[in-house]
Amino acid sequence: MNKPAIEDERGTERSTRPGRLRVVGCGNPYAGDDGAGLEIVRRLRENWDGSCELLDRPQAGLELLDCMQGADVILFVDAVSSGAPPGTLHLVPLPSPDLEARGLGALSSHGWGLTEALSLMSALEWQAPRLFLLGVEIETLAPDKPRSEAVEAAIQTVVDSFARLSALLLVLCFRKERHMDHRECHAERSEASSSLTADSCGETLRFAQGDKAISCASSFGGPTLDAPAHGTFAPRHFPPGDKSFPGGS
Amino acid sequence: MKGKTIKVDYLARVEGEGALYLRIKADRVAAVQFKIFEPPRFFEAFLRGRNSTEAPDITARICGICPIAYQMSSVHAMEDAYGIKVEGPLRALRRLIYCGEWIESHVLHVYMLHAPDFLGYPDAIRMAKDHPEAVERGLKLKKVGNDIVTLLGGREIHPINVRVGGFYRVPARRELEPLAEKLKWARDAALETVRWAATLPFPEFEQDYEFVALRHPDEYPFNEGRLVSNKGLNIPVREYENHFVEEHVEHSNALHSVLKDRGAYHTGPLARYNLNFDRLSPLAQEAARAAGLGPKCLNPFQSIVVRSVETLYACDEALRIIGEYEPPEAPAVPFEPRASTGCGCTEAPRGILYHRYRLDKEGVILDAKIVPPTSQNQKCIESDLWEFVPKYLDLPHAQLQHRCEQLIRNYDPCISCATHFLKLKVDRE
Repeated sequence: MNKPAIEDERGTERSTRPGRLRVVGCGNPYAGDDGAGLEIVRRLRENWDGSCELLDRPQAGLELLDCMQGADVILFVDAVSSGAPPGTLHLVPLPSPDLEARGLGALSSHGWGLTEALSLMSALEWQAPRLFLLGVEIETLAPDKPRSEAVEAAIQTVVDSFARLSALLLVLCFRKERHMDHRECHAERSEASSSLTADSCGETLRFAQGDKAISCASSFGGPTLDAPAHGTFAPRHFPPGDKSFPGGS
Repeated sequence: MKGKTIKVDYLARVEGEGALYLRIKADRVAAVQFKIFEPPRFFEAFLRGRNSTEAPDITARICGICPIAYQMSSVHAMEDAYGIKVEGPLRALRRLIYCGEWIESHVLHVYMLHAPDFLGYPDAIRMAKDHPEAVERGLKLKKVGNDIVTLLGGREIHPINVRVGGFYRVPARRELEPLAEKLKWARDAALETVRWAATLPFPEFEQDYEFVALRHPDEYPFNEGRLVSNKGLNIPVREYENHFVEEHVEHSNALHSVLKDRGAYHTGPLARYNLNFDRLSPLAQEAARAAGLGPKCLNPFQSIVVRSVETLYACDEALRIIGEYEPPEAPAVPFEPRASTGCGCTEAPRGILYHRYRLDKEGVILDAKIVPPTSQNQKCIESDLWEFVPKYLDLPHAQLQHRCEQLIRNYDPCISCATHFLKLKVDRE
């Protein structure tokens, strides 16, 4: 397979054209709060101004690899579980030592999720654009249950603040962020006191005891690292009701 | 090796949740259990009361890997009930969408789930570091299969464009042209896949299976044909339940299917290949021969080569269909509901998938029966283990366990599909 041609596509045009942001909603629309990512994308689509690309991947597995090309920044929006109060928003650069594999990830294609897709890209040394996860802390995954109030409010916060979020991500993208490499990622992981479990398919919590060995992706900053790095974008966590989301650049 | 237990609590690289339990006593196998503990899913129960036209969309949800198989078996069953026949370009488009599913499902298994066994890796991610070209070929090839399903089915997973009588929308010729370009690459990549798979190391192990597959007068089977076996079975699909029965065993949430008075049988790529080698395209036959396979293949470990040959066939067949395609006048054949019972059996990537529906005069489903391929292969998997383990008792424990898991993966078991309505039996003394 040809390597994704992001490097060529960016090249000289970069300074003259606006950055391309892609938002990918993941989750299961039939399992309570798990559909939060899909719902955010659905609401954004209602007032879409064409400034970014909106995709939904309710069955995010290997197919996630197909949406990694042709954008400068990709924001995955998914339900997460870290023990924080429901409705907390987590904005995390990827790859992240805080993101656990789904457990069955390496084992069954039913278990493939974002972490596994990133690990495979890393193993193949594919270059990728800047990647972020916007995690919405869930309260319930019960089938047929309505979304919890806290998650409903968080969804609206994201939708209302989307213009600022989008601007922030694009600024970060062109600010030549330093990327964490594979070994650093593992080292941090072993020290991490809490971890997020991204849920791309609605079955996370059942398999939280995962294969830690593959739990973190690695270094694919590639073409965005063409200048000396200065600083790392630290994960940001916004408790329910925090109006400062997504924060400044 | 004396008394010993091999226990795998979570089988890796299979679709869904299953386990293996094996007891060896005094160098003899004392117990084999291929356990499916994924909870039952009750699809047959909640199809009751739904309209026949909803069955393809509901049953597609049984599996994210092979939804087309469920759509195809359900629509053929409904068309059998209503006495209509879907022919010409609509029939060809159904074969085409099935080609897409075989490609994506087979390639996923060959490269991501099965190959790591032969090359000595715990998973495809770690295999990818040393074999990036192969994994990238697999990913790109799988995507061509997904692209076919997306174009004809509306989206790649749980497609929504298949309906009783045909499709909701059919493509124009020009929409298929970009697909043809991708398929030309895919056909070469599939040929390379056959060559590559043939170089893998296979344990010596042949079994005298009863193979069961569809057989059509002049096609490699997807949607139509009689059910045949290499041991004398030759019946129309309607007689399925006179010859096959489902049994509940305590250690599995999936019913075991057996041939009446004969027991285990083998369905899937190996069965199709052995019963239909002469129906493969010349290119696929030639590639199989070059890979060292004859018209018969009795070693289940070589199923990875057979899956690759079927992938090649699917690319070849898809190109043939696209080359001959003229859009039909209407996207679907009209029908009138009537009280009736209909049966359908099609060749899912993992083997025959049987559906039977009883409908009232409005077309409402009164009851449904669905027999997926993995539930049919469970007994065969267990009998393989009974035969295989005594031959390899000298292997160190970890290696023997790995071989047993690999043997199960030969069947590409889709446990999520296989688990369905469980009859409750209470023994009281």
